[in-house]
Amino acid sequence: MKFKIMLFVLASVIITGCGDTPVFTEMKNNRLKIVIKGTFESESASNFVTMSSQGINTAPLQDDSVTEVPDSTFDGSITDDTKKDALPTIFMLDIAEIRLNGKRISNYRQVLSIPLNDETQPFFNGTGIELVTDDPGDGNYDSVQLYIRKMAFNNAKVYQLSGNVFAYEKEREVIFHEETVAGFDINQLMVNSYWDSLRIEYDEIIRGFPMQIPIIGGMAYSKKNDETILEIRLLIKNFIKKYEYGYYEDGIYKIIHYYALSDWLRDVKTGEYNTGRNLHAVASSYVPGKTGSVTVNNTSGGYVVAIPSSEVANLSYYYITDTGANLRAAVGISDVPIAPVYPGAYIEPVLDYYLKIEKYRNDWNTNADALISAAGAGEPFDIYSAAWDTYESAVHGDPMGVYNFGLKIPPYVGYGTSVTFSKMAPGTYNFYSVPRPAYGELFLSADFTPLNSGNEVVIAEGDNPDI
Amino acid sequence: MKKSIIYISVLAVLLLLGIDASPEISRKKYFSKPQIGLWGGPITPIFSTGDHVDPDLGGGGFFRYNLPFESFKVGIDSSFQSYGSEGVDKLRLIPAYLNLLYLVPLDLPVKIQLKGGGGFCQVHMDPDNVTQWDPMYMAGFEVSFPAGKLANIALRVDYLCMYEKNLPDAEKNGHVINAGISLYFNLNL
Repeated sequence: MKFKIMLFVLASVIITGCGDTPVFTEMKNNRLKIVIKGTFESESASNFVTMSSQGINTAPLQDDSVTEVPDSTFDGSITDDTKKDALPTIFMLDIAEIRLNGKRISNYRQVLSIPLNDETQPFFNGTGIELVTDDPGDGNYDSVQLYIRKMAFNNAKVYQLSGNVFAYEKEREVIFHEETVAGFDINQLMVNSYWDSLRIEYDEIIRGFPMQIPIIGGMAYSKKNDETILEIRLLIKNFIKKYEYGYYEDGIYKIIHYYALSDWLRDVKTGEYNTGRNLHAVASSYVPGKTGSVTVNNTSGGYVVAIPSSEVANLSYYYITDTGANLRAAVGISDVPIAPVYPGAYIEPVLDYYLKIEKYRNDWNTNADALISAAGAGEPFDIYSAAWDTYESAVHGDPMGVYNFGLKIPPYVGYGTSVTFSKMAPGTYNFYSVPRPAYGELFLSADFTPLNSGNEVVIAEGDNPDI
Repeated sequence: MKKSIIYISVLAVLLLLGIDASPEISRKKYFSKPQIGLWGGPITPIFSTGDHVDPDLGGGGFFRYNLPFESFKVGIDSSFQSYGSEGVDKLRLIPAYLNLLYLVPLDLPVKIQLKGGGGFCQVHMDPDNVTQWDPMYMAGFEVSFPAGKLANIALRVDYLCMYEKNLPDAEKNGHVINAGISLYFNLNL
């Protein structure tokens, strides 16, 4: 009798545990499609102020941290065009891995090399490039982690100090996808500037590995849908600036002019080489065949952005209150001097280094005196940390660690006086008109003007309203 | 790891309690005794399953009991099989099945047994995070020889099919080959 009961219990457990998922068929199927784009716009090519309209040696294309060789033509003394700074023409991206809510769904190496000036390229024309991935489990996901192994632009130039002047040396090269190509890997500089190493949450700070990307509106993934699209947009097109990177090689001081993402959020100061958290991204999701469409009349022109109504309370995450440079300047005396780098055992550079370190000490003491004076009877470090906390909040770094995605980018962005979003996930949205900002800048708080009188718009599956 | 140690310890105790150390057991009759054993060896996904996950090493245990018919035995078999891949796909199988063993009547120094049976298999797939039981069937053969009075050594090859084509939208079944060296003991039950 006992044996029969045990057999019955065992059979019951197994039979009730029998699933209805065709696991071995699912291994073959790919229901999740990840598409990556390099534009601010969600369904079209970039309408941002073009990079090519900017002067190669002048702001805003050339960052104010470029001081050693501010004019690559050396006041006209170089006539060979190959030795002058030139705009980058290729963007290179090496992706190691993709995760959803921290769970790995793709560890296939994916390498993209994309012409920057070819508007027919899917990365920049609104179509997007599909990334290889496997399917996650059913569930809700609110973030995607993109593990970027390398990120580079070409046309980086190396100049070396010869006597008291810099001279062009060569085109900078980088190993990309096991090939030596012209370019400079900016992923190594995708860290916050030096002060973050003093912070408690230092090892949680966003870098390119992984790049934390919020899925605005979330993604409800279900295998019952034949296909789900997860669209990732990185702000690359027309968000590029020229920077300077100094280093010693065999005792010779050299600088590289390279291109990286614009520091309109986190300003890069002279002597700083880190440009971290200036890569901005957003992800959104929809199920093909289960979307709505909306046409928005935007009489004032410029950008039209749509965000889920649940995000309206967080609208401040979509803009900054002042320019990145001004926010950085507001740090004031807490923005302490940067120590020089030891050049190696070469007599002349070491002598130069000692001069620089003396100046650094002097600047540091001046700064420390100012902090001590400002603190009065209090702690100077409190002044220092409070200033940086204020800064981190202003640039959405979130010093308290509640929200660590940085600046938010709207999931739906179009440009013009009449914008149609054709693939909107069903939901309730608010629409805003935003003027096109100057090159190297983005949105300030005053830029968001509500459309549709500030009223929400409900988009249901198959809807096609005009507002 | 802790569970594995406990599992192996319990099995070892059972073996020590059950093995027949009496000297009068004939080597020729070892097939006629109940047996318990372990196996280990390569596990290989084949057909469409092999397109997604890679071969690995696996192992399991089994128990066999005699039937009134001399050439037949009935066995219960279970194993743990974990397959990785170059991508993120992972597959874990825990089959548990009954099988019927037939001793091929050939007068050879080694014994050849044919096996066939069915049961259920717990299937877990990542990154989908799906865990469920599938019906399964198996077929295989085993070549064994006695290693003293107590133990036998065998080379076994089993084909396992996890049947899913009964499910809606299913196009594939799961297919694996288990090959392994097995060590099993004669019991005096």
